[in-house]
This record gives sequence, structure tokens and C-alpha cells, in this order.
Amino acid sequence: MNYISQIIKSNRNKKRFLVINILGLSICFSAALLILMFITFELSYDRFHDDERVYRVESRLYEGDILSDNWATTTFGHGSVMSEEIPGIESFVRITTQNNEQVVSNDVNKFFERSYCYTEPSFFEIFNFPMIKGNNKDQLKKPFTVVISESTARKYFGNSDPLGEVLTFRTSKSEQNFEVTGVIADMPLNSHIHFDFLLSYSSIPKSQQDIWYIHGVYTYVKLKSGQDPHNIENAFRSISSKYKTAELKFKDWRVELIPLKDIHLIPQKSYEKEKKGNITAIYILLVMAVALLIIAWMNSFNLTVARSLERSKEFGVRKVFGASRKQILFMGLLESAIINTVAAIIGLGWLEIFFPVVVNWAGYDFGLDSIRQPLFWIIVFSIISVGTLITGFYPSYRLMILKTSDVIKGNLIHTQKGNIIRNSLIVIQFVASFVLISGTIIIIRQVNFMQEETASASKSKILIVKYPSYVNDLQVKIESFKNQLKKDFSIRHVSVSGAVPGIEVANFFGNRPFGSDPSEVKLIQMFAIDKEYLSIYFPELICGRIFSDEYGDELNNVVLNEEAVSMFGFAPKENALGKQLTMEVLNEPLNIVGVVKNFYQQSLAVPYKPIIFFLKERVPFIATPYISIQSEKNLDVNMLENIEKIYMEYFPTSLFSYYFLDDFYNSQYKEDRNFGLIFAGSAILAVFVACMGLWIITLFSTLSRVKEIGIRKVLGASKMTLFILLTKELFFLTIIASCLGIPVSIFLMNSWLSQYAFHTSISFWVYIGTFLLLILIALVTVVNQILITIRLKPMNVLKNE
Amino acid sequence: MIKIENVSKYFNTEDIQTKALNEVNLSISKGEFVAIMGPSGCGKSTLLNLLGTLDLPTFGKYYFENKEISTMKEDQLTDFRKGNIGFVFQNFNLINELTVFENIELPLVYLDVKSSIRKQKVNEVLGKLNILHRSNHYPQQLSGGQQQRVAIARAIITDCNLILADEPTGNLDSSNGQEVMELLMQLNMQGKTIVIVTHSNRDANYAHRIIHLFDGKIITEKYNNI
Repeated sequence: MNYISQIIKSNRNKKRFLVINILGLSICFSAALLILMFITFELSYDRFHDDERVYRVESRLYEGDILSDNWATTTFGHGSVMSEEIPGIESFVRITTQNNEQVVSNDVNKFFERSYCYTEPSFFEIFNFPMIKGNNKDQLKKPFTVVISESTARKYFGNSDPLGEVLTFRTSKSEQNFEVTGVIADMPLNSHIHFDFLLSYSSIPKSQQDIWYIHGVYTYVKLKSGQDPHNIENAFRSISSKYKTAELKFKDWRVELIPLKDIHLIPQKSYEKEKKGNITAIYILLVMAVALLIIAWMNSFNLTVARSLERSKEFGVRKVFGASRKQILFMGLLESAIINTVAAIIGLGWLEIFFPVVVNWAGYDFGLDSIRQPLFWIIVFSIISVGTLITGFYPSYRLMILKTSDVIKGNLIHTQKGNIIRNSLIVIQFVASFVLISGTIIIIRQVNFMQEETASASKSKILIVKYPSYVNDLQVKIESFKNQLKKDFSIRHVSVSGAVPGIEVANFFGNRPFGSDPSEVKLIQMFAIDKEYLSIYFPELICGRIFSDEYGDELNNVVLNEEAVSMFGFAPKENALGKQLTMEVLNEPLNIVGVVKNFYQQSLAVPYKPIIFFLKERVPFIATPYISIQSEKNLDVNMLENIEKIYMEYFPTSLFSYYFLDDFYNSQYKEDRNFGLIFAGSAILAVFVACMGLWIITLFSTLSRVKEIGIRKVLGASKMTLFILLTKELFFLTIIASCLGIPVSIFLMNSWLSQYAFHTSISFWVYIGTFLLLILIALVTVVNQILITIRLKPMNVLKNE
Repeated sequence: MIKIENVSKYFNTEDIQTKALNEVNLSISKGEFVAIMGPSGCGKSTLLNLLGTLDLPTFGKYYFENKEISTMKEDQLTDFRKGNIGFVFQNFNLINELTVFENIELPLVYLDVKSSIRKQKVNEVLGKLNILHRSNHYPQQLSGGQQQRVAIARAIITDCNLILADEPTGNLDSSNGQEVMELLMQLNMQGKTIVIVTHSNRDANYAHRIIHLFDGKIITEKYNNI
């Protein structure tokens, strides 16, 4: 029997419902697939190394049982010591991380570069970054050699062979030449590390290569087969006392070994420069993808069941005239399979159209590869199969078990049961819509909150310029430059510092109150500034004063933030003034002269951290890569050009690199805004699909109640009464959905918000607003049909008996 | 051809049991034209459904050409019904989504008859019943009388031997109704066994035998002298 032709004939005159069914399925399908592609990409980080035995060693410092310091890095000395003294380590590699920007140049080109590191020959054993030019072996053994990435080679050398060429690296304090000995392919997007330059570790002065003093490298170990990382961690604990630095002797030095492929998704730590993924967001997105599919399937199920009620007469007749139960069931399933497959094909079409748009807006290509993987098609096929079963089996089964005699007699399936199923499905769809809508509102509120908190009028007038590279008399020239700037324009302040708002300070040093027990040492971020910095950024003074020329040479004075004050236990805060601190690299104590209010040094995802402001000349080896230029009025193109001109006059061998502070802040929240957009998009999608389903269900249910309405009208019901009658159910369903949706939303959104150290609270108005919105949308969807039904003349309705 | 022995049919709802048929005994010979009459609710349609294997008796046996039907399962019943029994209903029960042609060919589709042969047979029957010009129309576009003719065409397309008609003229005016009864009589003269359920005395008079049902029991049987 030709099922397909029977299916086509059966659906020919009701194309509208078929189109809506397929449309809804295809849209949700493509959205879900998009999210799944993104998730697979995020989960795929670092799997190309294909090695279960590689771990990153991360430092965990404990005071007693409390984790006091949690870093992604280790000291320079960890690697070699662990490898020698702990059995089970096959090889290790160190990658330096605290690398400041340098100006890299050859004869022709000059650029600011940040993505470089110093690393060892074992890099190529432990990681899978194949060499495309140069020797496979013995790379990075000789000092002052560098391996560069393919795109970097093209950037500096065009099409000519870079091997043997020299690149010059300049900081504000030094100039070094490196020979290019190899080229590797660009590190792929889904790698947790991205470097354009690998400089040989042997270039670092021997005395610094193994110090235990600075936690400035990523250390990776490759364990021997079958080795349990916990053994290594425990073994380290026992030997660490031999190597702990004097300042931190009173902490318990431990390490944790993190498997390579887990690194990307665990939360960002201090000293980590890479953009991290977010495992919470991944879970939420997964839930969303599944929710979208479930909504689509339920809609389709609803439509199919409603249609099957209408078609029960048709199928009853078919049964009378020879269709067996199997044939009925098969026809229903086949129809469902065709619908799902066509929807999937169209959904892939949507994907094809919208994918470039999404990638463009997300900023990176997360999926092109997926299409070539068999897993992708397995998922597509599974979705089609599950969809077919869910939307096709039950309705077909019901048609199959119809008693032909009932149908012939005209007993339509007036199931109360059917009603319950339909209503539950509407409730579930509304719950999903509720969660998505309220989630969107909450996310938008949080993002706005973060942006408002960190924005301020003054920031729009601040220009950040990168510190120039090494040149004779750099210090003198800088002072001259500052004065020149202030002379020429409406420039109020120029300041040099180790960080600016938005940049993590990150220089951790041991400090303790002068005269206290060495066990009280705490690691605090030390912020190198000049006398003008605090005037520019004027954080509020709690007590005391900021640096000023009036007090002459203030080299031994420091200003603390509130957090630092509480860390040392000075209470009330005023007690901090006049106290002294011992800092680990200085002989003389530091005097506390002021306390400033806590402020957001980084984004609001990061809590307040303790900070000590000190004058940069006191600890000259701490770099000061930033110059802040604050003007009276808004900076325009002219001013920028003039500033650049002056800069290049003073520092002709440097590169003028700048950004506007408020631009930087806006970009900080880009990811969060993106997440909000995803939620908003899904909310719109879910509501759209739910409304489609609601519309069709209402169509069927009002049709089936037409007779009832006619009778009621005859008996005297007013239009208003009828309207309430028909919308009552919808109203209750929305209330139920909202009640169910609130706890789900609270759970999800709280776990999302908790990743931000500073966050808005979820206000109840959000939920009330969402409920009203949902009711409004639902009413708008069905009002038209209901009005038509109410307006029917009873005579027309009751005639047909 | 048909033998019903001591057949009873009960319908159960939550609290009430209805005895639709109460120990009915009936035989119908091949080529007979039987009319079943009785007031509303007396069990006529139930009896017809049983004859048509659309339902099974609660007690008793049903023999069709000496085969016992009452113990068959649903799939077997369907197989049996195909090609052996044709139905005509009071409210026509045509499928609105299918054209006249497609409605009529449906039983042949389920008998796995080839498309070309189906086409030939359907056109033949359409011609005989004078509705060839309506072949591509939908049931909603036809008058009541035409719809019933389509239903009859569907009932006879498989050339089956038994035709069951439940109030075939119930929804038709008198001239259309007469036409339908004439058709049925013609079919009977060609050798088909016809059983109709009817309220109308005029319709019943076309039959050889009239059976009266009341409260689920046969109370009279009368032979017509035609």
C-alpha cells in the first residue's frame, strides 16, 4: 500500500496546520542545534592533545585548613623539583605567564606583542602543536631562540622564510634579540593557551630559572601510565617544606593537578590571562537546548493530538473499509517521521543562514568543524527519531485503538483525559517561557547594574597610553613628556601606574604589620603608582590622605584600601593610620598614611581584593605599563593626534598604543551581554512557538465548544460571561505555570548570579511582571478566535444536528 | 449464509449495564433482502454492527458461511471484513479530505489492488451510478443524494456478497430515498445479500423479510410477498 500517497491525500486540505507544525519544529530544532554546537565546542577545548596523562599543576596555599591562596600558577622552581623528587612524573614543562607587553620588531615591522612566553623543549612533547617549519627535535634548547606561529611569520616576514631571521624584543628596560628556529601552526581556537611566540626558557638568566620566589609560571606535568594525580599531590605536600620561601613558611604549600581538558571550564583564577569558559553557563545552555526541543515536541504533540481528534472519523472509516491496526499505527508514525524529517531539513537551512550572523556577533567561530563530525549527524538523527516517537506514537496509538463501532455511531472522543494532557503541555511550555523571560530580565538588570557601577562621567575623559619601550634616560623623558602634555592642552593629570581600572593588579607580595610574628604574613596585591594616580581616579578617602608633593619624598609611605585594612585586622579603620608594614623585599618598614574606599579594580565578577598603593620608585622592578591621561573635556580626534605626535617625539623607537577607558569597560561586559542576548533570543523563540501551539489548541477547543456556547447564548449568557468562561482556563494555566516557573528560575538565576562577586538580587517584581506579560501575550493570541466564537449566532450553531 | 445463535450484547458504563441485545437468534440466507425495524434504542444498530463485525457479542456465536466469527481477534476481523462486507451509513461517513474517486477506491487500497485496476473499477462503478462527472469533487460539494450514491459505490466496489445499510435514506428527501432503495433492490437482484435497518415502512417493503426488534429481542418476523 502506498502510505505516502495516503498521507499526502489526508493532509492536503489542512495544509495550514502542517505548515505551522513544521515551522515550529524547525525553528526550535535549529536553535537547539546552534546551542549544542556551541556547547560541544566549549567542551572540546584541549582535546586535540589527546593525552589523558597531562595535568596543570596549580598552587594551593593553606593556613591550617583554610585555603588562603588559590592560583593557576606555580613558582619557577616547582617543576624541576617535583620531577626529580616525586616518582611518577614522566616529563614536565614550564610556561612563563607574567609577561608584559613588548615591542617586537625586525627590519621591516614593529608591533606590540603580548602573546608570547618562555618555555622549554619539552613543550613539544607534552603538547600537540606540530612544527610546520624547522626541526621537529631540539627546539628551544639554545638560549635566545624563538618558535613563532604561522600567522606571526606572515605578519613579520610576509612570504619569505623566517628561519634564521632575528626578532628584537624591547621592554621599557631591556632589548633582546631572538633567532627564529621554527614555525608552528596557529594554536587552534579551542586551546586554553594561545601563543604567537615561544621563547626559549634558557634565555632567562640562570639565577631566575628555578626560583621559588615568584609564582610566575604554568607548570604542566605528564604522568607515567596509571599514575594517580592524588599521589603526586600528596607527595608534594611532604617535600614542600624544604622549598617554601621564608616569607610564606607559615602556610601549608600544596598543589592540585588539573587534567588538561578540564582547564578551560573551571572558574578564572588570579594570574590567569586566558579567557575562560564557564561550566555553569554550559549547563544552563544545555538545559535551554533541551527545553527548546521539548517545547517543540510538545507543541507538535499537541497539534497532532488535536488533529487526530478531528481525524478520528476518517480513521474510523478507514478501519471499517479494511485498514488493519498495524496499518493505522504505521501510517501515523510515518506521517510523524516525514514531518520531523522535513522540519529537520528546514532547521538545518535556518542554521545555515543564521550561523554566520551568530559567529560574527559572538566574535569567534565555534562550530564549522562540527558539521564534519559524525557525532553531529548522530545527534540530528536522534532528534528526528525521538521527535517522531514523541509526536507520532501516542496520537497514532489512540487512533489505532478506536472502536470502529463508536466512531460510526458518532461518539467523538470527548476525553477528559485528552484535556488534561493538552493542558499539561500548555503549562509546561508556559513554564519554559516564564523561566526564559524572567531570566532575560534578570540578566539585563545585572549587566546594566555592572555597567552603571563601573561607569562614571570622569572615565569618558581618560585616555590610557602604553608605556614606551626602553630608551636612554627613560625616567627623565617620561617626566618631560608628562609636563609637556600638561602644558599644551586642557590636560589635568598624567599618571604612570602598574595597572588601571579594569586590569588586575596581580603583583602579590608578602606583607605583615611591623613587629608582628612572621606567621602573620599575608599576600597582597601591590599597586605601583605615582603621586597623581589617586587624584585621577579619586577613590573615596576613608581617612588619612593620598600622596602629594607637599609631603616631599614619600617613598616609604603607602595607602591601603579598606579590604587590605580588614585583612590586617586594623579596627576601626582609622587605627591603620600611622601603623607600619614590613614588606618582603624591603628592609625599611612602610608607613600607612591613608585608607581609600573599596573600588572595582576589575569587573564585578571579581570581589574586592586587598590592595596596597605604593610609589613606584620604591620597588622599581615592578613594571608600570600604563599612562593615564585625564583631560578637562571629552577627548577628540585632534587631541589624540597631538598626544600621539608628542609621544613619538619623545619616544621615537616605541609604538603609540592607546585606548579609551570607557571603551574598555564596555568590552568587559560583552560576554555577559551576549549571554543576555542568547536568553532574550530564546525567550522570544519559546514564546513564539508556545503561542503558535496555543493558537491552534484554542482553535480546536473553541470549535468543539461551539455547540455549548450556542446553547448558553440561547439560555441567556452575555458576551462578557462567555469571554470569561473561555479564558478562565487559560488564566489558571498561566498562574500554575508561573508558580512552577518561579522556583526553577530562582534556582537557575541564583547559580548564574553567584558567579559575580557583586550582583543584583532577584526582586519579586520581575516575576509579577513576567506573569502579566505572559497573560497578555496569551490573551492576545487567542482573543481573536474567542471573539469570533462568542459572536456566532446560536441559530447557525444549533442547526447542524 | 449468516447465523446468529443466542447472541447478547451488554454495554457497561460506570454504574449501569445496558442490555442492547438479549439472546437474539437469527439466520439470513444468501441473496435475501432483510429489513430490521423497531423504535429508537431497541438495538437495531447494535445488531447491524455485530453483523458487520464492527463489534463482538458479549455472549453467543456468530457464524458467517459456517465460519465462527465471534472468537476472532480484531486483526482477523479486519481481514475478514475486507472484501466480504460493504457498508452504507445514514450520515454517509465519507472522508471529507478525499475526493469522490479516492473515497470509492479506499477499500481496494486496503486490498492492495494495483492502481491501474483500481482506476478501472472505480470508473466503472461511477458510470453505473451516474456520478462520473463528480469524480474529482469533494463530498462537501455534493448533494445528500449524490453523497449516498458515492457511499453505495464504495460499498460495492469490492464486489462483496453482503451489504449492510444503517438507515440509508434517513438523511434524504423522498425522491432521493426512493432512488437509493431502487439501487439496493437492483443489487439484491444481482445476487447480493442486503440487510437494512430502517424506520420507514416504505423502505422496509422493498425487503423479502421484515424483522421487528424491541428492547433487544426479536418480537416478530414477517415475510413480504413481492
